[in-house]
Amino acid sequence: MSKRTHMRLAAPYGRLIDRDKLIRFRFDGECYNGYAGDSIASALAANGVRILSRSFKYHRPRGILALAGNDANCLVQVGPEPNVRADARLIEAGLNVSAQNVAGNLGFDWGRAVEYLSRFLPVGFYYHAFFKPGRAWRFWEPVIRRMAGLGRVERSAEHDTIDHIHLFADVAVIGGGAAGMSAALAAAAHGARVIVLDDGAELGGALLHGRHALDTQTARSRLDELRNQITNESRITVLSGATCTGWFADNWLAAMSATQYYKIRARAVIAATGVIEQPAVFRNNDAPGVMLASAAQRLMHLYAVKPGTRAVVLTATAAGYGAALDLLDAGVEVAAVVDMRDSHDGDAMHSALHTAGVEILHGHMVSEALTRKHGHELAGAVVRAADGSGQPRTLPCDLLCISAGWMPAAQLLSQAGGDMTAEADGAWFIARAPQGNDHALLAGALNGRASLAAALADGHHAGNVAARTLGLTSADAPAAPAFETPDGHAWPIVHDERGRDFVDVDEDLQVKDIEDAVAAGYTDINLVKRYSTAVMGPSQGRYSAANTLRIALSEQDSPLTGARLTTQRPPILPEPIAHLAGRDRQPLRRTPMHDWHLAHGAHMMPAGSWHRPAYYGEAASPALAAAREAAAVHQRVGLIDVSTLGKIEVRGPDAAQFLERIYTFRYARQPIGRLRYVLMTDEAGVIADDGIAARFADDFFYVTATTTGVDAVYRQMLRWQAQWQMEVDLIHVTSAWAAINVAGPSARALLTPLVDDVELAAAAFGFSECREGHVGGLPARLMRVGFVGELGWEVHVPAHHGDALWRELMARGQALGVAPVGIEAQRLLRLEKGHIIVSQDSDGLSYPEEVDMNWAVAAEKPFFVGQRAIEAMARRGLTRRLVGFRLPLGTPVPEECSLTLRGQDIVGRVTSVAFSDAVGHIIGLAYVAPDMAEVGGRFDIKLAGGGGRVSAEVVPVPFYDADNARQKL
Amino acid sequence: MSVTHANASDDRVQLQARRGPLHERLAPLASVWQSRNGYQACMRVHTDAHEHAAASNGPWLRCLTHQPRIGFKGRGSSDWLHGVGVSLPAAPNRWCHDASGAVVGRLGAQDFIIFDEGDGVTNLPHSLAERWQSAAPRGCYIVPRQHSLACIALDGVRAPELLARLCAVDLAPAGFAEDAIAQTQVALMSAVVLRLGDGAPSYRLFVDTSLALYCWDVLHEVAEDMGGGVRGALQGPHA
Repeated sequence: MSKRTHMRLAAPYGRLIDRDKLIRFRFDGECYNGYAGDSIASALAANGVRILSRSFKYHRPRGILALAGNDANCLVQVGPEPNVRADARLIEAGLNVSAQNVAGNLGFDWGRAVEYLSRFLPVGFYYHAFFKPGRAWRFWEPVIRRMAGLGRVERSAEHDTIDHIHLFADVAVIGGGAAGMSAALAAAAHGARVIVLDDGAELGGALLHGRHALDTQTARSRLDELRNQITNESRITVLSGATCTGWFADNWLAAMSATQYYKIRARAVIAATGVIEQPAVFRNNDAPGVMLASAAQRLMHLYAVKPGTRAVVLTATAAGYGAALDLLDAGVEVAAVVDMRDSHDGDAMHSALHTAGVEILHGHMVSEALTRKHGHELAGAVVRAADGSGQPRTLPCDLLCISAGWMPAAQLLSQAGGDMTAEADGAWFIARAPQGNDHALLAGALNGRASLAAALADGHHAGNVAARTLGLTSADAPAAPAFETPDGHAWPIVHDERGRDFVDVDEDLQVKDIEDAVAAGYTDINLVKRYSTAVMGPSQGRYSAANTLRIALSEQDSPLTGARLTTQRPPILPEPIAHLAGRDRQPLRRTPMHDWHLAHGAHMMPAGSWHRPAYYGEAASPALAAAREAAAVHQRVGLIDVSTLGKIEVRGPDAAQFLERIYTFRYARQPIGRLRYVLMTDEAGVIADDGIAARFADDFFYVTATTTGVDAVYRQMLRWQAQWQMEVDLIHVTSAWAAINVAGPSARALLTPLVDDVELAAAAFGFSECREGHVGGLPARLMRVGFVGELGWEVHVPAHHGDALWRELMARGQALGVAPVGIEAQRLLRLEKGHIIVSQDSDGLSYPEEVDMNWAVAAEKPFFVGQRAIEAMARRGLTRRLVGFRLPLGTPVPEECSLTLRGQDIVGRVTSVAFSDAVGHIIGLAYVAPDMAEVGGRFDIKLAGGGGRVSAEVVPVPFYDADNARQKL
Repeated sequence: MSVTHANASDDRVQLQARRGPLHERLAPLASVWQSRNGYQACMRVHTDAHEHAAASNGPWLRCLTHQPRIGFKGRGSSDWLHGVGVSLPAAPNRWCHDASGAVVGRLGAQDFIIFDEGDGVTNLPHSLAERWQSAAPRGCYIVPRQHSLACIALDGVRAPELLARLCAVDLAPAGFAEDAIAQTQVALMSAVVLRLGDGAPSYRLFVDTSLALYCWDVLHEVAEDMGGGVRGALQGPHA
């Protein structure tokens, strides 16, 4: 175990940790101790561990930057989980943490050699390299991905159960700091249901770690008061540890915690997300030990970790002075406060530091951070006058805290249509609420009211305005406090010709990279972003957008005042896939006979949204099982569960006329008790669905549709009916009826004993006829169909009786050799008859003539949906045709979708193909050119996987029982 | 023509039995398994499961698929139902109690669902079906909701919390009127949801019978995670 430095401060430091609960965990193979409430990063810092990760491109050692849960420096691997934010994830006993993006180990990373090649790897280098010769990218891609990897995905990891929770509120407040709490209380006082979203472990925001002038005690007391008031207000729900990641239209918010994903619908939203402390740019500004001043304050106040022993504070804000005082209080020596500003209005903190003997340098910058041990440790800061005068000085230190200014945390606001612009030549930024959304409000530091008093008053104001806009009160809101000009410096940048002056540490981008992007012609800031990848890393520009904008506009001599930052898009933090996925749910539908199928060896397969039996029992292949079951239908009798068929009742005096318009065929004169094929085309004349219409009364058709198509058919029917306003009512009854296709020469023998009131003899119940009656005493609809080419009936009974009837038929059918039959055999049987399956043998361009179904199109009708398009296409002429084909025995069976060829030209594809025992050939359907469709003609089929070609012969369909005698028995 | 069969009468009894989509799930849990409205219904669950659910105050699931229900649709539906004395909600997506005690839900201007609570004692759905058969009213058609839907009750003070995990509509009492009906998506599937009862929330979820088992499993999994579980049909909040 390496030598450990213990950096814990005594209580009352460490607001979030419980010193009574010691927790042991591992990092990069070594054991460490921390306390309950520690994050991985804080616990490691307490043990003196300064390096958490290696950088994305150059593999430079990186440590804590912001400690706010949103920068790439803190990304680690935790067990199987990559890209865990070490400053947001709490430690747990036995947690196994490792560094990611490391070639070698965290201490010695040979990937750092890339840094020495950096001048050959300018920004956008991969846009120019690796694409020639043609296959080069295939070689380079895995190499580059390994080098720039971000963690390891463990494919065997268990799926986390993350619930998606829908919440509803009158007012959602994003941010639980002073302004947010004040806003929530004000809105709730008017009766609003309020949700407060806060990404911290406790409410308080900057009050938890910041120093408010010298009066820290007053700030802490006010915090306690606010939290008590929130706790006692039943109308306020607080979601702590929940980060709002998206603000969408109609004030719909997405938020996530470690174990939940929230979807929040709020009538009004108050953004109180605060401001983000900004870094400065100078050589080696990414060294471990260089961090934001607020990060050092978080370490001390939240986790009782002393962030260093000797510090330099580089600042352009009052907060930097506060941090220096905090460091002194915690026993850290402060070598100097380096203020970038030429002068600073004297305030109490300035005086206190002066009194404490801390050197304060105005108009100075840190131009370089010095390191030792290969960049692993900070050794000092080189300080020089901002105007370049005088000699640089080196101040030895192991901690360099930076507070160069503030940027509104306006990422969410930007998503909602808000705006943020640079002011005062880029010294500070101002955020604005979305225009046209009266229910989107800003409060607190985000709104330019950063002092405690102003933040509280602004939150109170926003809460009242929200309540008023929601109609919860008619009282005027109290006046908003005055805008407070934020601190900051317009040019916190010292460009170093030697480089390593990082603008974006997430992406390892230096000043030169931004300059190069502009020089390459990418002048718009959003193009600079895309070309350079600046602000596209995990921190999404929180610490890089401002300096990128400054450099890009400076290169073009463009003014900064009024300039906009890059567009922000959701999510503002990476959302784990487990969060997006939620619970594993796949709503697949089951027929009433599902349990029977499972109990009898059915191999189930999805068919649209349904589970259906593919085949039953053991078989060397699905094709052999299908052949076995098809033989049962041809020779004896089979039962096919066709409950999944779509079923729609079309009722009313205009029912027949409605079908005349919806479908291509004729229905007006369809006799009662007869079936008729239905073919639906869309307005472009393309085949959309098919089925059967059974007419049970003048005003009642029972229409079937395909399993996968019925919902769309029903929607189309509703849509057209809304337009046509016919005297028709439509009832979707798919699930209400179980359906069994009883098919085979013994079908009549099996059914007859069960049917009370319907004569099944051929003379009384002919092919393509339907009857209502009773089967086994159950109300039933019987339809004599021929889809599978043998004598048979579809028997439809109320769904909850379906299982009983199926069992009864199976039991009674034993003597007849009955067999259950799955989809595979059904597909083979219908292929033998040449029946198409819509969307398998047709596609998004197929119209009736192509598939030889003009017989089902009553062109002389005054109207049906798709009629005009079909007429137009008929004038244009065919471009392809679906034909039946056969291949000799012994030929390899082509796969469906195999190409059909004439010479070297592709003329179509195979849509269905199988070996049929009954036919004695391999048979199929395929698209070919129209002039190749003559019976007896030949075409080639290209076999998959380089298997060559086979020659197919065009044959007439049906392949089996050409005169349909068997289904008319 | 009538065709007879030697063993017809015995067979008929068996074939008349209805089997709900949750039969396989409920059979192992049931301590009281009774015939109701043609179904074998789980009236009570084994004690341990019940106690677990009761002790946790968690959301409780009950299968009420066996209870009688029916639908009517068509432009003459409201006139006919009104004519035969059924109380109708004034607007779509509302429900009311009929004088018989049955619940009448209005899913559209001319689309109704009618179901019995209280174990089918009054059986308004059945009597309406008989009257419809004899009257054959113009423009009013039966929707076979007994067979197309399953009915799942969701009880307990944490029931709204469970629904918030599965549905994007606010179904908590504060945001969902007492006589409201939501036709929405629950756990990625269509559902009709309403809230009955006075006191502890008791929701009714009507879901497509083909998806009932999926729905039950999802609800059950979440309910168990929340400390709840399954109860029998007679073990509702006011049992």
